[in-house]
Amino acid sequence: MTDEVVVPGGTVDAAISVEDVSKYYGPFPALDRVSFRIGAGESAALWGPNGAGKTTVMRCLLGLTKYRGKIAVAGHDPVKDGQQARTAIGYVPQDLPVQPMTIGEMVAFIAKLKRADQKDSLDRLALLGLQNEVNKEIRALSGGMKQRLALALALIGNPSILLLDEPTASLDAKGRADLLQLLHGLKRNGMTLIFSSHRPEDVLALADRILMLDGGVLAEEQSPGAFKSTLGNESRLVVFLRNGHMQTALDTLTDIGLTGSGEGKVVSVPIRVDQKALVLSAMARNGVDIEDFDWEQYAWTKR
Amino acid sequence: MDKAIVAAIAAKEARIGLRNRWFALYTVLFAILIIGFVAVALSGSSLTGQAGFGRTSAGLLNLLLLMVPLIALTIGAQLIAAERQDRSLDYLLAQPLTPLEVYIGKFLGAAVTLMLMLLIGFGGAGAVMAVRGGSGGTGSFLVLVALTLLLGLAMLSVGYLISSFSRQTAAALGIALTMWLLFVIVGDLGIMGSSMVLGLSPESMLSLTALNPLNVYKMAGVDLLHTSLDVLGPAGIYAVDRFGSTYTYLMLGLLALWVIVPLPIGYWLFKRTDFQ
Repeated sequence: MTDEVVVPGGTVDAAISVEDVSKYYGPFPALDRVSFRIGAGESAALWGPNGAGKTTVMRCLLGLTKYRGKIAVAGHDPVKDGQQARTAIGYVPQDLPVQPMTIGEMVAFIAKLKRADQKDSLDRLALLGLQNEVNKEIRALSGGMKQRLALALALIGNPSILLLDEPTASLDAKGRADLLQLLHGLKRNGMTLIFSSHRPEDVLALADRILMLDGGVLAEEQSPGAFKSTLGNESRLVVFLRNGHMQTALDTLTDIGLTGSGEGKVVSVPIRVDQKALVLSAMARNGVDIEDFDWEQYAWTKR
Repeated sequence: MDKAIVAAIAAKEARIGLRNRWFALYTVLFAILIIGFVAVALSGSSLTGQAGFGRTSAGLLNLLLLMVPLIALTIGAQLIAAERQDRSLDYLLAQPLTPLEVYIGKFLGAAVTLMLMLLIGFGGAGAVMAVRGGSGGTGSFLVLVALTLLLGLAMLSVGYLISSFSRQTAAALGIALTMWLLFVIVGDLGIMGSSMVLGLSPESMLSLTALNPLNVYKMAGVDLLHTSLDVLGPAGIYAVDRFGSTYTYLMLGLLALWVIVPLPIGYWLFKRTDFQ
């Protein structure tokens, strides 16, 4: 395997190289002979249903699990030389663990672990709009702010690779849009991104390449254009309600012949792609107070 | 291993430990019980004319024998299991550090928290004794404090070992409480029962006793506080006869082993559990 990756317009050095990697939990394959390379500055999405192996790939890259095969992260073996490999990676988890600490304390702590300058790390909070929240407890942050903090922490120490595990999963529509914009900026500045997602819109917005995992096997590698063509016609509307409107919202769905499920302030409705307006206008007519909404297209119908 | 990283993790662990509601609960409970015990003991001894640190310290030994292991075991058992359960351990291990730095740093941070908790209680008890009991026997009291800190570290180490392989906090706490019961009840009763049924020699009884850190603490404590080892029965008398003046060091060494030995075993289990 060479250490270069072919991209549109030439070749670049491989930031991540995965060669024939397998991981078994007992007799069950979490990963089965997976190989791929991601070039420096590229953005790759890991796509697939739950249990496809996305998280296992991330754990392998971080050196948090043993595997058969070869992996190089910025030239370092994540198991034998884990510290060096992880120095090259900024990791953004799906949910930042809530510690009884303030943002400032957490930034200072991670800066120490990454041997980075603490003042510089705190100053950088401004880039993510967190400069006035230094003394705020992490547990008091909204989902969107917590994800921005997770990104700020991942960027401490100037890693060359950003590894993101379902970064928008717990965000509302605005939080998602804000985060995607930030990630776009990082990508423009040459950072290598590898992220898992179950939202086709995120994948289309960010990825140069899509690695389609299924049952621990790398089933396909696709360009965003090819990926778009595989998207199905089914989708899901997620409606964020103000307090006290759940029952009216569910009754409205029944009235128009749809079935939704509600949890907390969120109603989720499987719909055809052309039914968005129908649902929203019916809810508005019945006096349902809508705070926000989001729309997700189901994918991927395997070719 | 980078000492700065270990220190950073230990400092964070201690800071979080001090903010934990368990810390407040244990500290208040320990302080109330120990100060209350000392106050009551001193009232009683003043009636019989037996005031002073020495006698109170000897009485305290039995109270500490129950409380300190319970506190230390449960704190230790939660250290890794809780973070494993809420996935904050994964996040920590995803940073550019080694698992050994994480393992040692977390233990040191918890040790600082535990020491502080115990010292707050002992400080209050010492103050009560100083005010009401005169100054005699200060040395005995300080010996008791030092010995108890060592017992606390030993039990923290055992609790940490339990945490090293437990995936759920509840499971870790369950195992820790079972261990506490084994150490406190079954340990003593088991030795007594075995000696009666099997007719054990004093030498065998001493070996069995040494397997239980609480018994080691008790034997070291009774000796250091200059109380007769007769109270410990044949094993105690045999120990003094057999080891003479080195007996105290032997007991302290055994207790220190209970601090040290669980750590590498726990680290091995930690790596096995989190890096499969």
